[in-house]
Amino acid sequence: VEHKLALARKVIIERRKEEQERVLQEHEKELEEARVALQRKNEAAEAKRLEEERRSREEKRILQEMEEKEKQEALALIAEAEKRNKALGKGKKGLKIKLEEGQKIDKRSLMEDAIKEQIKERQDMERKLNRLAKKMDHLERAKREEEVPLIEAAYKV
Amino acid sequence: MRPILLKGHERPLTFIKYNRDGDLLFTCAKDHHPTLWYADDGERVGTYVGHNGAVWTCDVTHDSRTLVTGSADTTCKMWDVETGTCYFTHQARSIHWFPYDHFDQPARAVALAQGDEKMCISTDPFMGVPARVHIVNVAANREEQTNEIVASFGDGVEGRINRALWGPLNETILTGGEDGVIRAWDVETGKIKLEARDHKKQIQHLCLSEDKTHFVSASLDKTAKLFDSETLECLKTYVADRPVNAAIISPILDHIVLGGGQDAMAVTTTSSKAGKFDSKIYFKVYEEEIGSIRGHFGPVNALAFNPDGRSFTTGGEDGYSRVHHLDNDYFRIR
Amino acid sequence: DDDVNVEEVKMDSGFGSVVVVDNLPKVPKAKHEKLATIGTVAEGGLHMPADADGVTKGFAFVEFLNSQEADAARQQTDGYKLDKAHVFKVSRFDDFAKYDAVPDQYEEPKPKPYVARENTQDYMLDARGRDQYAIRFGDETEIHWNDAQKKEPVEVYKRSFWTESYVQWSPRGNFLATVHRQGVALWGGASWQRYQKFSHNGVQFIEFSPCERYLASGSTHEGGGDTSVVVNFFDTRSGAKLRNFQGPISDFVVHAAGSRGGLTWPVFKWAGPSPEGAFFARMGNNAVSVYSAPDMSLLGKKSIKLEGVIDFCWSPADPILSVFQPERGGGNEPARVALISIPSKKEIRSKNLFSVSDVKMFWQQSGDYFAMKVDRHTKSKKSTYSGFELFRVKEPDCPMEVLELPDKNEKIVAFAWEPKGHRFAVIHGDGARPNVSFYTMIDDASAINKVKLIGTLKNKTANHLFWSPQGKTIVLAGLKTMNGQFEFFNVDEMETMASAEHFMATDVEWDPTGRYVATAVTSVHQMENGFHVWTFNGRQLYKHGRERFYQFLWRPRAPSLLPPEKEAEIAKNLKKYSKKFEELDDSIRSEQDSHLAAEKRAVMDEWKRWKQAKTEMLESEEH
Repeated sequence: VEHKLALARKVIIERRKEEQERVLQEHEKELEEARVALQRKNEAAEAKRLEEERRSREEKRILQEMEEKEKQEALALIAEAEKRNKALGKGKKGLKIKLEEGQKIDKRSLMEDAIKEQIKERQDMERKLNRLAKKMDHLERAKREEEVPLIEAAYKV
Repeated sequence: MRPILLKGHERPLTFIKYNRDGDLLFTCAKDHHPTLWYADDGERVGTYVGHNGAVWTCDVTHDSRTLVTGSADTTCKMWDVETGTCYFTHQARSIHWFPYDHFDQPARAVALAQGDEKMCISTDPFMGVPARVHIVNVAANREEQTNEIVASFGDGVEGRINRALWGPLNETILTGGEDGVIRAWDVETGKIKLEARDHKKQIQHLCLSEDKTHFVSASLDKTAKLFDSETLECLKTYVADRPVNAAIISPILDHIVLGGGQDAMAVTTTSSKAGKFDSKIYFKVYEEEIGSIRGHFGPVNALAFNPDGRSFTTGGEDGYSRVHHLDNDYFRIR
Repeated sequence: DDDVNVEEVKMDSGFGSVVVVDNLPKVPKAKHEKLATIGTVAEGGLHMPADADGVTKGFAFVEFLNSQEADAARQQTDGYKLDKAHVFKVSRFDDFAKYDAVPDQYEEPKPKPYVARENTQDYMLDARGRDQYAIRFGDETEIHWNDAQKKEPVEVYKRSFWTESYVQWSPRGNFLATVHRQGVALWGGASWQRYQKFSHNGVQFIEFSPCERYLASGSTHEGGGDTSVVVNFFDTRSGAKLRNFQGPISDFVVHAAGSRGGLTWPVFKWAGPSPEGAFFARMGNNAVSVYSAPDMSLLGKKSIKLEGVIDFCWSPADPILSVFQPERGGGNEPARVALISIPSKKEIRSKNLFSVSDVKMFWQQSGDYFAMKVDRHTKSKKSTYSGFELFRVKEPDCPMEVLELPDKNEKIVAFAWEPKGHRFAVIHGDGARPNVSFYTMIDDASAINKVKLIGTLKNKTANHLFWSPQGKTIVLAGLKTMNGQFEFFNVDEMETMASAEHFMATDVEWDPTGRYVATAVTSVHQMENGFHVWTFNGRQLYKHGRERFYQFLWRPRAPSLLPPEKEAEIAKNLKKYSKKFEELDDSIRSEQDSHLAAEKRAVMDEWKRWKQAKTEMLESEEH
């Protein structure tokens, strides 16, 4: 009986030991998992930070490029306007663009200027053509009016 | 303002209808599915599934609850607008369309009478049976809807009846079709009351004014004409340089819109302009053209004004509908 | 009696196909057969009366298959010299009958009652200086004023079935010619009376002399397996037929290498008006024949010998002919272009050309310059390239130069001289959007005149050029495949005044003054028929749609009678006139506006009344 009891106790102790070990292992596992999770979280955060950094750099670059492009376009507009002015020759007004040192080139305002100028040009042209049309018409009619007695006289002969 | 493009039909449009409030738009096409859209933004609400043929026409009750459609599948269906379920089908085969009760005839035009208590259905000539107009009752209680035909007439008509409308006070039915003749039928007797033979070619469409005193007709003779709905006297003629498929009257201004275009077969060049597929706006009283609206790649088959008069929709052979919201410039035109 | 449609019925004597040949030798019967070899004769159609001894009487009756053949045979054999003693005298049998009927006693013709003819220049007296045009559509012909102030056509005259084929103004605008099966009729004056008629059965083609004094009419007739050609020359005032040319079509077609073949009207081309007389010419095989009006005889009784000639053209201003002879003798003799002065027939200038495959001639309106587009082929004949030969006709010794475009392999789409000017325009390029270049014949910078490029417009939708008759302005037109695109271009300033579209337009015509341009869609298309009228600077005045639209023709004007000093004076005092015209135009415009407004008001009032009545009626019925 004694032996049986002793055996039983041994088994119990063994079990307890096992239990303790298991608990310890589990605890360690939990700790390890927590550590890994933390590490993962940190890694993700780092990656995100890096990504954001990269994105902001990219945005900056695009913005810069756009600004540069706008500047180039604006400069092209100016060049074109100057070319037109030259083509129009002396005494004719064209688009005047003043560029001050250090002034930020604004494409939109330039475009607006150019469009305004174009509208004005078109109106000027319209006026010029109307004057020309009237002159042509009146000259023809004046000549015809003066010719009438000559035609009538020729018919009577 | 840019038109709103309605893409939903795979086949040519045949008919367009706004509801009374102008918030819903129904389109019919040669595909089998009438479609409901929000009139304002062109969002598609749904389709009415059940027909087995081209849907030629539709009408909607004053309360916007019931939609009626007529189809080449020889049926005329009544739908619940909201749920999209068909609650009644008039079918040639099952009903006695006196005296022709043994043939199926495609339904070409449907129109609800003022008050929504009756409707008329025109059927195409088919298998030797000439075109007819039939009048059926519309039951207020849907369970009581029957297929009983109250009256049926059409003697003297040659070819199809493309359009049938209720005249003022529901006393007459106005029809126009392939024979180019506009007729006013006495609803009581079924006899022809008046005829107008002003068009030289077939009539594609008729549309009444808001107050029903006059209506406009669209014809392949390249004109649209305005008639007194009581005397059938021709009051105005709008000369278009293309066959006219549809013409509508603005509910708020003295304007007419017409649409049509050369038949695809007759168009010799590839340019969409050559086909005259633009819709034209005319002064109703002066008969002068105001402007035109382009967009379709094929003839315009259907037109409808929003009851508020601030927009209209065109439906094309190209399968598209376009909602044109009229801008302030338009309303400044005198 | 202005119904020209009534056929003038002529009874056929039955002898129309019979001619009488006189001045035959009187020969015994044994030699009869020798005489019978002239012409193609109907079976048993030769009858030579002989005396009792069997000796012929010196004349014969010859019957042909039909009267046309008889006429042709008469023309060919009349005056034929058999030998010194026997020059044939060939006459129509019918003429004998006709002359027989003439009474031997001369009867003085009864004077026709004098009818005052209307002034055919009445249209030039319009108080508002408007111009007229003729349009033809469906069965209608209409004359309208172009009313720029009212912005609409104002009807002058119209008539249904006025012509059976087309209408044409005479070059100075006095008459409108209508063309009928029986002949040509001229109309004019304020009441559009018939002024003259010319009978010519089956007439197809008419051509006035530039001075309007003469009218040529032409026709072809099928029959007897061959086509014959008839050309008549008439005096427009008296209506008299001055000369008739007729014969088989082969007589009127040039059979030379490189010839385009087929009959092309006009067979006879009129020279520009000149103090030396009115000339016209036709091209024959290896010759150009020049005739002079009014006697209509061959100038100097001889044609100008030009071996292999296949093209000729008159200067529009002077009696100068340009002629082209292609390569001859199997390539041993080069192609050649020459300018020949008439009536002297002296060559002003000529040039040999090599490797030529085709040419096109272009005279400048006032005859100052002549250009020839020359298409040449490379030695291998595999590809062609183009260039221009330019002649300064009025300068001493007629200097000449060659112009090649920067890319000479490019296709030349169109070429046009500035009328009365020194510039020309060329459309060149192979793509869908060719280039347009402008050149001038005057180079201020150089001591000797040289052709100089003014500028090139890139990528234009244009395939036709239409200069204003005043010059300076040109319409660059994209017709046919280009669907009717127009650019109104000022060549002085080298700037575009306006771009416009007349969808599917087929025709462009400037008015005689260069103030307005008409563009038209004629019935070659089924849709969009009708015309638009624009100002010279591309502003649309009005549109006019007409189904089955055939013709739009501005009425020409006779040259001004004003002396140049008077014109200068007017230009100097233009302000005075301007003020008056502006006031007049303003009043017309405001009258037009108020008239239109009143019309509109009346239409609207009527509508409102109608609607009011209807509404009231409906309301009362409803209650």
